[in-house]
Amino acid sequence: MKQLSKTFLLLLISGMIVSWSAYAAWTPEESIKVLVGFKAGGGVDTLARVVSQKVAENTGWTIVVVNKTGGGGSVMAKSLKKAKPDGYTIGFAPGENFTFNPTINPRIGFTLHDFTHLAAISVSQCGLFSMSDKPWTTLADAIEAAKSGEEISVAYQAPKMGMSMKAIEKVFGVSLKLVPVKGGNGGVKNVLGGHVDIAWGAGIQAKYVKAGQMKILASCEKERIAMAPEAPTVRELGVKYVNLDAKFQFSAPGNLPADIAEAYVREIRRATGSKDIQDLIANKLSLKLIFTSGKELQKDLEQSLTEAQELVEFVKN
Amino acid sequence: MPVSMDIILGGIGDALNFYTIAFVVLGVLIGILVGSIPGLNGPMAIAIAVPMTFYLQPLAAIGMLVGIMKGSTVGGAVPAILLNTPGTPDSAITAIDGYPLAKKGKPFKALKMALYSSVSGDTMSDLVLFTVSAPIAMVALMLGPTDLAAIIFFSICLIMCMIGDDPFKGMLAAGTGFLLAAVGLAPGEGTPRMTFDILELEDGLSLVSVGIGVLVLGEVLMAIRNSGNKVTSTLPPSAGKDANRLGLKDYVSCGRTILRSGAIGTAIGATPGIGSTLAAVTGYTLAKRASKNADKFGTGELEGIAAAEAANSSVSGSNLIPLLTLGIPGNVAAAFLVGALTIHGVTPGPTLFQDQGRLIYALFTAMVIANISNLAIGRLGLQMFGLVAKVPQSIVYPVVLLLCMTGAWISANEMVGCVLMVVFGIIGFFMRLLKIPVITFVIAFVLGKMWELPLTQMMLLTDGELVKMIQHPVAVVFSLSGLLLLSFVTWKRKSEKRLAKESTTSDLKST
Repeated sequence: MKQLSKTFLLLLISGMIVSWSAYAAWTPEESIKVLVGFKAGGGVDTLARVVSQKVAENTGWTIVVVNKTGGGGSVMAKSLKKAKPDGYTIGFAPGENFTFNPTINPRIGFTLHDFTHLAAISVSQCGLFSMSDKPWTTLADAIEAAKSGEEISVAYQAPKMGMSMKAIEKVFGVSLKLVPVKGGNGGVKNVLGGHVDIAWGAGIQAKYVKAGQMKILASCEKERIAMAPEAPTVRELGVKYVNLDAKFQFSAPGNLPADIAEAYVREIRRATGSKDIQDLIANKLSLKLIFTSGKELQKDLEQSLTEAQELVEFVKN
Repeated sequence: MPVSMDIILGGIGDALNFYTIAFVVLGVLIGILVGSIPGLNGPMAIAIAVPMTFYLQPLAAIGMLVGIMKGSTVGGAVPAILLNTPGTPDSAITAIDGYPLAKKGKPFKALKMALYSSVSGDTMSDLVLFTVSAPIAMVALMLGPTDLAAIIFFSICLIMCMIGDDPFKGMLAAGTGFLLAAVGLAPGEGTPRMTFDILELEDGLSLVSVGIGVLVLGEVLMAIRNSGNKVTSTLPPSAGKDANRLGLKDYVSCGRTILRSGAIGTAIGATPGIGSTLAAVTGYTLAKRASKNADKFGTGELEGIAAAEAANSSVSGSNLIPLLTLGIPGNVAAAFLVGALTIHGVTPGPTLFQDQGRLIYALFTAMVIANISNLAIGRLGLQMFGLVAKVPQSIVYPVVLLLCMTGAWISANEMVGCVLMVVFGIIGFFMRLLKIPVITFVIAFVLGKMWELPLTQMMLLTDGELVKMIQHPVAVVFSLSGLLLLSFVTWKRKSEKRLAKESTTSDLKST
């Protein structure tokens, strides 16, 4: 009996040790660098900083956000690929950095599969907008107008948006004036001033839409966007290639040990569960809250890589 | 939509806290110190400081940079007056009367006059900025890509007018600036140009690397080369307290000159693309023409100092008018500010007053704080800055070199930034050696970078038909006046040359 309880106790203790070590499998012993491919102060940077800070608060880890700008996020992706997969360097970026960027530039020096993708925390809510006094209700009306000879200009701020516009032109057999602008603000400014008819917006237009000054003509996501649930998606209008689908996610260098990945996924999930971060994502940045990780995230990314390849191929041929 | 009162008051309130004030005052102090050291100037200090302010709150960061800009215009007068070695071309005009007065044993009288007129000019300019920028921003929304392309074209014509005595070297500098501005992905199509498959170059050469390299490192290298020539001051001992006193009467007697120079500087500052040197020259020339003792100018006349300093300092406030409303910088220092603003999530342009009205009025308040501290620090530190001006270069330049490297690294967290900085430092050194104007190069680089996007947009919107520009009257006015101005200046320069030639030949004949 005595012997038995001793064995039992030992088993219990070893069981506790095993389960405890599985729970706190990885704890960083030095500071962690979070690489961000965009300028400090922008949306991506803000999100990275706020989440990192929350993770640091929750865990006591030391986290430093480092901005490595250039090439629409590609400079950051390249240095993330080169970093050691030891958990001390991770990156935060929109998923298209890993899917769309290598598709349009095969010589870029990285592919989607060079990384361990940890967790996506939000997705873009992008729409095409115009001033409210335009006679169109949806993008379809504007395209009809263009078909009947009216000159219609569309501002876009990222290569994927320009590519999507070309797909729209091709599907409808219509010619629009595609004008590159700098940042979402460039689109808003030109639409407000009446210099361009339609622009792409990922959230910056929200306050003008709320004030009734502007309207959303179409959603550029897989689903309709929360800002204007009445506006159809471009896919509903018949262009299957358009899906901006910018998922903001944490990634690490390829072959990151599983216990480190698990620790990150757990802590990112805990941090993004907090009220203030959810408020920032949904209300201030006008993004949609999601949480995907592991196999599910990898599947999503493979899907968006295929879509990116289809889009580029469709436009180029 | 006019800016509402609570936004203005909110902005003023935001600026009035210890954190912000401390950084603005620090900026002014750095500016005065840097300006006081011969060979260093405001744009240099701002180039290095921009990356260092990344981690400050936006208001403190921008306030500090504006403080440096303002402080350096006051500081620049110190070596001009005490050593006759102006740190910047515009304070060279201050030296014309400042140094002779110092030689008469009244260096502090000259410094005080410079300080007071500088702060007065600056304040005038700021007042204009505060009142006109919000209304201009509302109009600016009506300006489309075509108009912006034309306004930048106008600025380019202006720099071409002022390329200096040697038009060939000026054109070389401007041409190289434009060429290097094209490095990176083409807007729209995204075709890489001159990137040599280096990913880091896709966004173009960064202004921080190019600016620190050409403006600062180039100057340091040049100073190392010239280190044999020692600056020696031959000032006699000061003539005592009474002789150095600057009374209210002295200030009032220069009042008209200060007002005139301030107005000139403000107008020149508000014009994108030209700088404070022209303001100082114009202010000084007009003051001399209007003065009763014109023949005393150049011998230590207070009015001369006042004219130059009020004019070159009043550029710094109105400079922000095109910057904040159109996103087009008025000079090199302002170009660095654009970078700093964007880094902190503030996009200069017509929507700025609606999006960030509160921040802008907070910035305006910070500018007032900067002016007050300029006056206070300048007045209290007068004696000390005289000493700073004599700090040996063997101490100054190693420190500056270290700061250059740090700045270039912080700006991108990449080695590429440092390498570029060194490369452009060497380019800057050779440009100075060959007397190719570096400022023209940097301004052309900045404007070239800014011009391309609106130009591309204009071409797309007008289907590349220039005739369609007629629908944009603002664009037509700016392009035509740019062209007219350029041809007038060229014609005048040619006829002056011919006259000079004729007079020399007639001189020869008469002898």
